[in-house]
Amino acid sequence: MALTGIQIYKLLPQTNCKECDFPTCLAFAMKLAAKQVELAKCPYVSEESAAQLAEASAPPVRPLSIKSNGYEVKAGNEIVLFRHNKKFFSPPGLFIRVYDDQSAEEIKTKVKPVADYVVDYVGMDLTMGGIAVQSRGGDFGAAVASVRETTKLPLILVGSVEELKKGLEKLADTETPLLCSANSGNWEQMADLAKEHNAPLAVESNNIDEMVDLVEKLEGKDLKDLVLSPTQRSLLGTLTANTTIRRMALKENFSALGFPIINFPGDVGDPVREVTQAMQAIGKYGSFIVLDHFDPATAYSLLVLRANIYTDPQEPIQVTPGIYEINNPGPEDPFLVTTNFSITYFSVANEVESMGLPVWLLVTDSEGMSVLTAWAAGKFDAEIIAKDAKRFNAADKVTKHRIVLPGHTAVLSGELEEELPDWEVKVGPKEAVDLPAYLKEFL
Amino acid sequence: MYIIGENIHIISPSVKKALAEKDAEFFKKSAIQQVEAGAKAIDLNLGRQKHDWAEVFPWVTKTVQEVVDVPLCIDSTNVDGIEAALKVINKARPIVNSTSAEAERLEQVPLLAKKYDAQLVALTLKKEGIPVSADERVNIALEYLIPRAMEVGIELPDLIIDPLALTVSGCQEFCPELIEAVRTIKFAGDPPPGISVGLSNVSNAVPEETRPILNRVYLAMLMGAGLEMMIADPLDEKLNEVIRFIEERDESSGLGRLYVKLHDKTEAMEEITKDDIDENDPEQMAVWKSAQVLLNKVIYADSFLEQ
Ligand code: B12
Ligand code: SF4
Repeated sequence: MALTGIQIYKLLPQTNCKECDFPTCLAFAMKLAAKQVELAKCPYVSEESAAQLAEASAPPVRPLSIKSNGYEVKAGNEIVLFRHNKKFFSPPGLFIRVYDDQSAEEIKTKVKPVADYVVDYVGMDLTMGGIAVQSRGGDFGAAVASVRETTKLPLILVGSVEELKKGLEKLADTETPLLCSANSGNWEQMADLAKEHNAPLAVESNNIDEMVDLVEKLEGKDLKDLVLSPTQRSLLGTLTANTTIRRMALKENFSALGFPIINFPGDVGDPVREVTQAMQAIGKYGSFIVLDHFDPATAYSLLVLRANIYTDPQEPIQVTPGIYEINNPGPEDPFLVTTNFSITYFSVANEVESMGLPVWLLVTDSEGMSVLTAWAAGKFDAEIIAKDAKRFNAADKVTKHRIVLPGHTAVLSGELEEELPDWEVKVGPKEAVDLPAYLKEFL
Repeated sequence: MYIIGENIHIISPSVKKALAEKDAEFFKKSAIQQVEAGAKAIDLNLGRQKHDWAEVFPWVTKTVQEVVDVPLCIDSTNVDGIEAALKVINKARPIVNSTSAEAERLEQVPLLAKKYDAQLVALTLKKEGIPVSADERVNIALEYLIPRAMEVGIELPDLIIDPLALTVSGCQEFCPELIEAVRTIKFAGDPPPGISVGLSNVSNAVPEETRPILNRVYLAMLMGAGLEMMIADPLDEKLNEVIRFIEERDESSGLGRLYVKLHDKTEAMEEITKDDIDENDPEQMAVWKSAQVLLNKVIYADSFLEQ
């Protein structure tokens, strides 16, 4: 776990000799905690303290990624068990699995819609992470090749050492797929293979002690990028395994379990139970999530759930303040004004856009707050709206100067008239759904 | 414990009334009472006094100075008002309360303190708002307050950093962080700056009957982290008793033992456990519950003592 300034201070000489160019050891410690200076700037740190500091500065969950042709799924780097304590950093990648006994045709039909899937959610493009290829007695190399003919998305390869070798032959050297999995029987050969290809390696076990033992052996072979693969398959079993692993890493600073986790909800077979398990894995520490079924409806739910969990709870998702043109507005069309909280923006923009109504949308800087929240916090008042209207040159866009306020902030209309004397200030409906009807009458 | 008596505060209706009526006796009586109860300095919080500052600040300062010899702590955001008060002080070295890291105040107020050879209270507060974490508060002291004091020539022991006590009712997550901030700021300068907090802020917006216990428990922990100065009510006998328990290490009663333990464990960066308390003693249980709430282990509710 990263140390606080005071914890670091305790490890420094505490002599305030100033050779590091800071007035006190504490000032130096605080900078070190913020990672803004190098420890080496203090010539007097004891070897023991230096070792302790180095260990503490290692991330508690090792960051790594699966890469291919410009795509990347990142994992790890988490520092809290609960999102509200800070935030979660690496959204888990969702992988759809194909098997090597499927025909090239089957594989391609399965992979294509996954690769093409992209959906817009409050201004973010949500996509699937990649494809998992698993051996089932077929031709592993051919299966990997079929996938690669269809998509460049990152891969997870699941098979024996020999099969993985055949799969890896079909890939560019620059790719680093995730290799699954090292176990007590094959770990040495797997380690060699992973090392040769510079690829992350999954470590599989249904028992934490054995998992730790394997990790330590692999670390002994100088492997660093490991992914833990608990083989429990029930909801409770996965939850227990994932939670134990992450707790040990974050609360006990136990480095042998400080790795991202891979889960296989696809193994339960039933598509509904699969989604349930995937939801649990998204909420509870899964980093790579392997599914057998791809259905845009469930994919959307999972990706939105993921987006909601993997955003900073203290920082609302925002859009950039400015003037947005919706449906090519002209000089006669009205201005609507709203805040830059993305959910607010999209509820207004989508409503107007989908009805094909041309408007200018003035998005004010309200620090990502909704209309009423911003109003209550003093971040959405007549003065601010007028200032942003001027800042973004709203008056130059139109010949007919009309501006519509959200119905919830009707009280602002008087003041806004004073602030913008050349404009006709209107009060719109309270809810965005009522905007089309209002605008049709208005236009 | 160096207590700056807080009872002359414009928020109090009786102070407001006395000021309106120019009731000199009221101010004198309050000041004497506080000093007799052990206050080492007297805070004069007169608010901004936007219109009358030129008259009000000197008048109250002179009135109080007539009857007590301790330092007066001029507490306002009105810089002109502070200066008007400083001009009439001729007894003990005054304290200016306060500057913050906000650019404008940091520019003016330290110069004023230097000019009148006053000690200076500095809040770890920036324009963008109050920082939650201990590290952020310490950083404000290190990056803004201490450098500015050194720049204008205020000796570090004359700079009193106030890392801001905030109410457990609404800002609960700030409470344990303040303890760590106090612990850390002691190392922020060489020699170390002073540290003071406005103790009763921790129980703002808390029902009257539960405020005192929260103040007492918080104080024991803050003393464990090294607090030696605070703005508080010197007439609060139960609070004074806790100070005495800790300063004299009086462990002759169960309660005294518990407060000493709370202090010692905080000092050692540990937390009290159920083993440290006698669960049959309601007073000790109240200390326990208050500590849990103040350490943000149990979510605060007005009825936390009953839960
Ligand atoms: C979530 C929330 C918060 C979150 C903020 C999240 C965020 N990013 O904004 C947090 C917890 C931070 C918060 C804080 C506060 N909140 Co709050 N909050 C809410 C809550 C529950 C939902 C807000 C929301 O997200 N709405 C969804 C969005 C999409 O709605 P919207 O922006 O209004 O947009 C809709 C319409 O206005 C309309 N619309 C939008 N733009 C336009 C433009 C035009 C032209 C038209 C016609 C229509 C239109 O379309 C949208 C969809 O219909 C509301 C309750 C409520 N029912 O609104 C309270 C509420 C807004 N909050 C309130 C308050 C008081 C506060 C605080 C001041 C509390 C405090 N004392 O600290 C703080 C202020 C924040 C601060 N920094 O100081 C009050 C405001 C009361 C009032 N009328 O003054 C509310 C109404 C709750 C209440 N009933 O008391 N809050
Ligand atoms: S060089 Fe090292 S010992 Fe000297 S002040 Fe800096 S941190 Fe402290």
